[in-house]
Amino acid sequence: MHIYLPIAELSVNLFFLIGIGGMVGFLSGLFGVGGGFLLTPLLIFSGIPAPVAVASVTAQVVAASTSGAQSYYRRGGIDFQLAFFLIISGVTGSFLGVTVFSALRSVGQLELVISLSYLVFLGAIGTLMLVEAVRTAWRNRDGRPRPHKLPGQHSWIHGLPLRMRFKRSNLYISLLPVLAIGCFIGFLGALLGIGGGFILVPALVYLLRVPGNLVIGTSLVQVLAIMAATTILHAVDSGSVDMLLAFCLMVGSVTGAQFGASLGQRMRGDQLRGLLGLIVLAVALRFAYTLLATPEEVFSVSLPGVTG
Amino acid sequence: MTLALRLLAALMLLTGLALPAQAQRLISTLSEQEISIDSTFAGESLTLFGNVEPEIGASDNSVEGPFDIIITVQGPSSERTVWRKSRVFGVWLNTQGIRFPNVPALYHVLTTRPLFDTISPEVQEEYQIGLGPQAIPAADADPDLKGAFTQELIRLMTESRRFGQNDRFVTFLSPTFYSAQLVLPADVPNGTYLAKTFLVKDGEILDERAERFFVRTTGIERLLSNSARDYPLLYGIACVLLALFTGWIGAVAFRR
Repeated sequence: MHIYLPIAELSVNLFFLIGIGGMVGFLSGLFGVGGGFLLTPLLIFSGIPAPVAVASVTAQVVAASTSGAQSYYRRGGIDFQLAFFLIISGVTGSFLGVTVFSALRSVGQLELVISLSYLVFLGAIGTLMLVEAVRTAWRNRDGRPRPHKLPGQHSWIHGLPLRMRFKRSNLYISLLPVLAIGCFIGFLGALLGIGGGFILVPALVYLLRVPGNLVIGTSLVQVLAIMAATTILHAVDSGSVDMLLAFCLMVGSVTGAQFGASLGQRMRGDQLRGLLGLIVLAVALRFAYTLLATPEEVFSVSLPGVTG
Repeated sequence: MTLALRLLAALMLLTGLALPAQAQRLISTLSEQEISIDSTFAGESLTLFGNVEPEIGASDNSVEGPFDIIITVQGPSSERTVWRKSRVFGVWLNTQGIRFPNVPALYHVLTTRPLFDTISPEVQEEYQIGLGPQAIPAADADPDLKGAFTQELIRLMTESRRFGQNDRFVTFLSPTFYSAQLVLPADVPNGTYLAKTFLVKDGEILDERAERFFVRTTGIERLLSNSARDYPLLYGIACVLLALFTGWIGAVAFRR
């Protein structure tokens, strides 16, 4: 059964959309990430114009993170004070991202920048995750106890000025890295159609040392707010949000996420991170292939400002 | 034919001095005046048909074939850019782009016999039948590149079934009654389309008719695409509310 997408102006198999939504939702539930970084590339590779894919997945991420944030809220797993500062700077970053997005569209290089950025970020994050997971697994096998970080141990990031106390997270840190991280995630989210959870979570853990039980909830709230703002910005700026496409993806992913989450509870943390690392790397390699392999078709036709 | 000659021919027609060869006229119509795109739209076929009849008031009441029919179907024009990728430091990227300000979204030619057998290139050019490089002007570009890029544009549009040369797609069901079918691809844009039918005999165009038809989205799709264009802010907010609601429903429905 085909469904006609009014903004993308093409007709796509309905079950295909709900299917990839469900599959990505399953993975996002399993790993506790938004899944935008998988969904946007899948849509682009299956023929949805890149601008429509990016903008519509943005709306889908809002739905996915609402579901997630709700369950963390019930468990009290959200630092709203920290989320507030991340959101303020994130919306600024998102403005920048949408502006750059439009500028790149008009010079015909949006596709290139999206591919390159995916390659760089997914490649780096995927490798890091994999290495970390393998190390943990290795240590567990040796039976040696894991070295715990001392609670008082500070990096140079904690020496920056403009410090603020975050009661819920039990942190006394500079606002500067918080704002920088928020802004960067907002920028990337708008440009690439990803929530950025897979970058934000490690950043909160390793750079700011946010306690583990608050990391995912707080990150989900930030992603939710930024992606909501970005959806509106994309709708106003480029008119490329396809509500029908987004809705099909939402239905699939919200359902899939529930099954993923229940499987995720039965798997070990390092296994999950290793698996996620592999998937992230696979997507990065797919982009590397697009960029480096000799294309079958060197010519392409695009509508005004759209590369494709 | 120059304008003066055409005027002369028209004058002769009016004064009843028409030549016997021009004593027939074309009657043509379409199976649909309006094609609606709804949620299940996956392309649609359009039937174009008509009849060759003796001119009203002509002395001779019979029409003399055999005739040829050429039909052109043209969609709304918009700007398009053709990009060429090349390798820069090992990475493939769009390096050259040429803008074409007026490219029809759809252009199909349907004929009874191959077009080059039916009319001469001069007649094609005079009546603007067929897609030669002259039909799609490029903006501000190096003339060397223009030719090559125009060829690529036509090739790519043909591959996606937007453009097409459909020889022998028009068939005569009787000596004077013809019919043709065109399958519109699933991704036709909204707008006004023009179908032109030419009556040809011995390489000469005897008569032509033009019909318009409309392609428009209907129902919820129309509402969505219109509001995305006319009220982008409200549309964006509506998308966010829909997402919040769906996400919330999901969390409530599957509460563990």
